[in-house]
Amino acid sequence: MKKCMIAVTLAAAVMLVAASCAVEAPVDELAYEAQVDADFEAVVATLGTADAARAFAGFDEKYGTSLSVDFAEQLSAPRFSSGGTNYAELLDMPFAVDGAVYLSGGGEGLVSSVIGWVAPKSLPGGYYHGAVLDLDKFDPNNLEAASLQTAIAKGAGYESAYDWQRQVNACVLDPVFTVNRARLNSAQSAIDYYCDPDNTDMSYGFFEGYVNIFNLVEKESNDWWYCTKTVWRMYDRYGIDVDSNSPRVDFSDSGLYSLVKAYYNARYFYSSSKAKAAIAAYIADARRTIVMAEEIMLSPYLSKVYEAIRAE
Amino acid sequence: MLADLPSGVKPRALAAAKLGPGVALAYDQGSGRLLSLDGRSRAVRSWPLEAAEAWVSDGLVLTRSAAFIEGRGFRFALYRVSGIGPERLWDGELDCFPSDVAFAAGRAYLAGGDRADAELWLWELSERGAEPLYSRPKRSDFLRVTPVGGRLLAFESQRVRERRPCVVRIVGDSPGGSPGETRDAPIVGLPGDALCLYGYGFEYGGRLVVPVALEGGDLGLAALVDAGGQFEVASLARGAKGVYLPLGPGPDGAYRYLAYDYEGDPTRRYLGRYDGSAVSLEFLGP
Repeated sequence: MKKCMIAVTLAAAVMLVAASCAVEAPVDELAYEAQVDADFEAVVATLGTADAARAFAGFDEKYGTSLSVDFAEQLSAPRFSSGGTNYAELLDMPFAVDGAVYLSGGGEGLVSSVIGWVAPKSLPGGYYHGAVLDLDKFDPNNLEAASLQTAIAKGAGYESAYDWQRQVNACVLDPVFTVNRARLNSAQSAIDYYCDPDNTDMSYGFFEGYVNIFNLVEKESNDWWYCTKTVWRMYDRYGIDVDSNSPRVDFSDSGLYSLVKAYYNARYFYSSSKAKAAIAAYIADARRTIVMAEEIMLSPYLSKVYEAIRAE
Repeated sequence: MLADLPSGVKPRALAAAKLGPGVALAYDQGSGRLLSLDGRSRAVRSWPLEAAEAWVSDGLVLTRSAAFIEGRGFRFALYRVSGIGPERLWDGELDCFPSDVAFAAGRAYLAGGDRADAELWLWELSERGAEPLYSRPKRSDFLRVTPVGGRLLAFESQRVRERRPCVVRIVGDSPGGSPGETRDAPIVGLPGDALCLYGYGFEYGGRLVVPVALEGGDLGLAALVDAGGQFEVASLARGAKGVYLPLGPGPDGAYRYLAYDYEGDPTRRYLGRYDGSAVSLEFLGP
């Protein structure tokens, strides 16, 4: 009985101590959250600019986050590049099936750096880039001819077999169904890009804005484009949804997850359960809204017929 | 020389061109610059030029943009290149996925299919603008164009090696002249195992030389003579391995080309030597 009394007393003491240490919610929650939102938007807007390092460090200092460390590589990276690698050509890469999907990863050979680090890379190859072959444009006597449909910073883009033979990691996925040639041709020529060609920065990416996690680009949007969306959109026109939304794609292994985690941990610093719930809800929405290379790779409508992985 | 170029120089973006100490012009997509190269492939001059693809000749450069602008096409630009750098003669948007480019009489001739893969087009580009010279329905083929003896000759290279009619399209009267009517001239005298035209053509000794796919996977070169209303095969050289990129006459007068048969063996490239009747090949590697 005496032992029981001591235990109860101890438990009460522990609870009292815990209660005295608990972080309380801000008095004016709405005003605080508005401040976090504004600070966060301002910080991510600096990514790829000379102001990024100072802005990220300031946010970390104010909210106790680790964005400077998490995004050390991205702070100085240019927003857009012309790509290109020095790897040997993948001469055995097949270009034989109309509508075949090409995915790539590794290296720096992508148009927008944001696509590379936002995309989850939970599967071998670390794929984040995509294109789809229009066989009618593939010339076996000129591999430099524009024949793979994708999206680039200025909207509709085409890449060549020559470009794809120089990717670091790459795989080719063929349709597993019998392709209706006329319907595929119609889908390939029906993708409508409404991007303003004079607007070079702001119509490409997963977000409406260079990095604005509050504005994920809907797959159905005609105004904002990214490469894997082009693949999805062509097959959507054909009548097939190649976004698998597979749970095997681990979004926690992405730059997007790191950003979202930092944001909600700063916003709900007083409640880890509230932060966790918000992060989970955001990621679930992202999984549904955007289409990543790995989600296409796991589509049951496509089958991998070729793969070359040369870098982690 | 091909092996020593910057990695951003694509095969069709290089041409012999005398420009001060430079002996060649090349477009380096990696750096986004037009290079004047000396005999050791060192850039002696360079100028910024934005393009996703470029075709270079001695004095003229044609570029294509990366973006295809909805409803309008790729943006093309034609430049005249002198010692002070590239001077833009014309730019504009064309719904054209290029399959061949030739230069003659201070003009560029751009051949290609449209985005819908419905039509093949041949355009004449000059400082006066872009003029369509020829079009025909696209049927899994790619239009080639070669200026020969003051005339513009075109043909369709097939994507698939199967038996198809072999026809030369005589476009207009002369490069740079007023567009005339296009005449179809069938090729006669091909051997029975000839399937279709497949690859790039070139001019040699005043004749159009066309690449021919043969049964069994072989590729040959047929030299054609104009026989009024049709072209007759004067000679056929077998074992050509395919004309991937015409280069030009070598120091011995024989024609050199990059021989590559993507479908036959995508791992081997050769330097082809054609003397008008026979071919010899020098293995270049993968």
